[in-house]
Amino acid sequence: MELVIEGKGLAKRYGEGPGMRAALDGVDIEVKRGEFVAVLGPSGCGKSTLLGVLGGLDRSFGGKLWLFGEDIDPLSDAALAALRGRRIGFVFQAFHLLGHLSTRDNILAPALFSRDHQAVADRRALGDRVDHLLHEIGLGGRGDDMPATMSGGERQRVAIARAMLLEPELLLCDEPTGNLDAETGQQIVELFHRLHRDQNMTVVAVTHELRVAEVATRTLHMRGGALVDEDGPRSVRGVE
Amino acid sequence: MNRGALWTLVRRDLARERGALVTSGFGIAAGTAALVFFLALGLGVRSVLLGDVFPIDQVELESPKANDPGLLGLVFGRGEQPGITAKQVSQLKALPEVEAAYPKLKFSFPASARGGKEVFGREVGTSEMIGDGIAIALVAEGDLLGDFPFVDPLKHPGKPCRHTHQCEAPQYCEGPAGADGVCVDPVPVLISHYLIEIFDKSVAPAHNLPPVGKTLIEKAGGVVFKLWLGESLLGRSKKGGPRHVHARVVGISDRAIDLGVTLPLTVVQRFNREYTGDQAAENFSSVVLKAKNAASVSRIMNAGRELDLVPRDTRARDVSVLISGVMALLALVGVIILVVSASNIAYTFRVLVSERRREIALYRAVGASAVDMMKWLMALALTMGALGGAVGLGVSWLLSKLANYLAASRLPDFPFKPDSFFAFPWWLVCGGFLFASLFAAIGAIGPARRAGKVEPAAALASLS
Repeated sequence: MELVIEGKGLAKRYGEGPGMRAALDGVDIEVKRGEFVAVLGPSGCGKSTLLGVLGGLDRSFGGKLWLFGEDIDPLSDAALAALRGRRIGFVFQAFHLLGHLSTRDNILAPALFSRDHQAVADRRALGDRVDHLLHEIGLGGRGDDMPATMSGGERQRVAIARAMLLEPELLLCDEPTGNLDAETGQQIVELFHRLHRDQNMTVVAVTHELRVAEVATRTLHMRGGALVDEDGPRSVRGVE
Repeated sequence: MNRGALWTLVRRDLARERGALVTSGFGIAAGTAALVFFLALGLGVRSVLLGDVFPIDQVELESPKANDPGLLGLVFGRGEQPGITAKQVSQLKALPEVEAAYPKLKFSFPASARGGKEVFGREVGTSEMIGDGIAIALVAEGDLLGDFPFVDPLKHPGKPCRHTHQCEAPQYCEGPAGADGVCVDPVPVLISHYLIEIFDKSVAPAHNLPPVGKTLIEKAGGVVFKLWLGESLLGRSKKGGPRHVHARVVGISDRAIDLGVTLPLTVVQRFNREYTGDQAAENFSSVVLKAKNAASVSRIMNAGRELDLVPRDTRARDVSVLISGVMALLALVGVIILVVSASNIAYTFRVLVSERRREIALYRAVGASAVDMMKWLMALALTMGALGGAVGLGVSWLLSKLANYLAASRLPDFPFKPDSFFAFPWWLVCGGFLFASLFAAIGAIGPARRAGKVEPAAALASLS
């Protein structure tokens, strides 16, 4: 099966000298198309750093990384940005919605920077896509709401819709339920599960919550910047 | 990122950061207003000074050997200088840069004057009178005060005569002393503003005479006086018999000689021939060359140099240099304001980038490149500069209107007082606009580069 992510000897260090800390310590990772990989580990083990590297958000790392079979090392900043915009969606723990924009405009943010002009040229189709996504995440008709008026769960749903706007092949999630209560977190996990199951989307979620791992096809355990264990591959367990 | 997306971001920022951007834009507007106001003022004043007072689109050339012969020269025959020949005038006229050539000719004989009873209540006179002749075409219509034309009186000769008492006043008998002549109108004479100024400020008070103003000359219907030819306090001309002609002041002109009287060229040629000889009538003292444009004046001067002719007056160029210097100084004030406002913009944008690290990082995560982020900041700065520039241009225009209004209503009339002291050529308007945008962009370059360098992973992680 096609590898969406292939990382070899991924390393990342913060600081120098005696205070130096290895956030990533020679991580080898492969993610195949259609997999839902959960990376479990305690806070500070390097999960978010790994996600930043895998998403091409952080280029100052050691080792080699291929995304969709392409070595990202020689890619220019613009080419890597285009790849991110076209093929990768991000969901963050803190949602990172822009407070001055409506729900609709937040979801549309990726379209501003898309190099796929054809995909964003048809404004009506884009608007329909936003409406469809809002409906999918259970926020139909709330496109004009401002983030400040929404609950944490609703904001995270909007952030997921934003990540899905341009139909990426890979969804990278950084502690997606970290800021949510148990019930809301469960709803978000169900949403990811549905996206993965119904759209065969490749998902990598770094988390310290087991419930995310419960819907994943494979779980990686991380400690001290290194992958120390792996569960699976296994079939998807339903959460319904 | 396409232009539509860029404009969407800029539009949102203009609405969102209105306060900070207005504050920064104020500096740009003030700088542009000062720059354009001062330059427009300089251009306006320059246009009046170099267009009317010291025309820079023309040059007067003379022979270096034919400089003013002086009174002694007139008396002792040094007036027979070679001067500028008709051939040289033709050569100059043929230059492609020359639009028109007007020869001038000085008196080559001694002269004096007496008259002015209409104005002063008694006859006054000068022991010496200097004068020259100019082409009629050089005299502007506005220079003439009444209905008296500036033409050679012999163009409309009256009845034959031998003495003036045979003519009807104010005509006099024109012709060499003791010979037959014809009755003609007084010789039209132009005087300079400068002469009036000197007379009113120095001569009139010393002799308890009333000042001569434009109105007074107009009221008098043209001051008539007697011009003595061939004789003055210093001596007599060797050729021709002394005689007097009637002359009438018909206008005040900047074409007139500073201290003396200016007559139609053909009249002076006739008098010079009578008292000095043919050469003094056929060769000219100087020639005024009107250039097709101001830029070609130096080429005309070079061509004149090849004919051994030099510029008579470099005041136009001196004034031009002076105005350019003053304009540069005033423009510097505007530029300094713009520099200060650029640094203000740099500060505002630096704060803006710091405050928006998360937003920038998010945009980077969803597909923006570092260049996209720089473009965004630069587009915002350019828009701000353009808006500030437009406001600055509007303010400078309004200020110019106010200044013109105050000048028109508060300042007393003075020679060459213009309707407007300002000029707003298209290039100044475009230049002001571009300068405003340029300085705003310069201020934003540093912060824009910083925005491009925001590490998305680090920024998003630190704000989780």
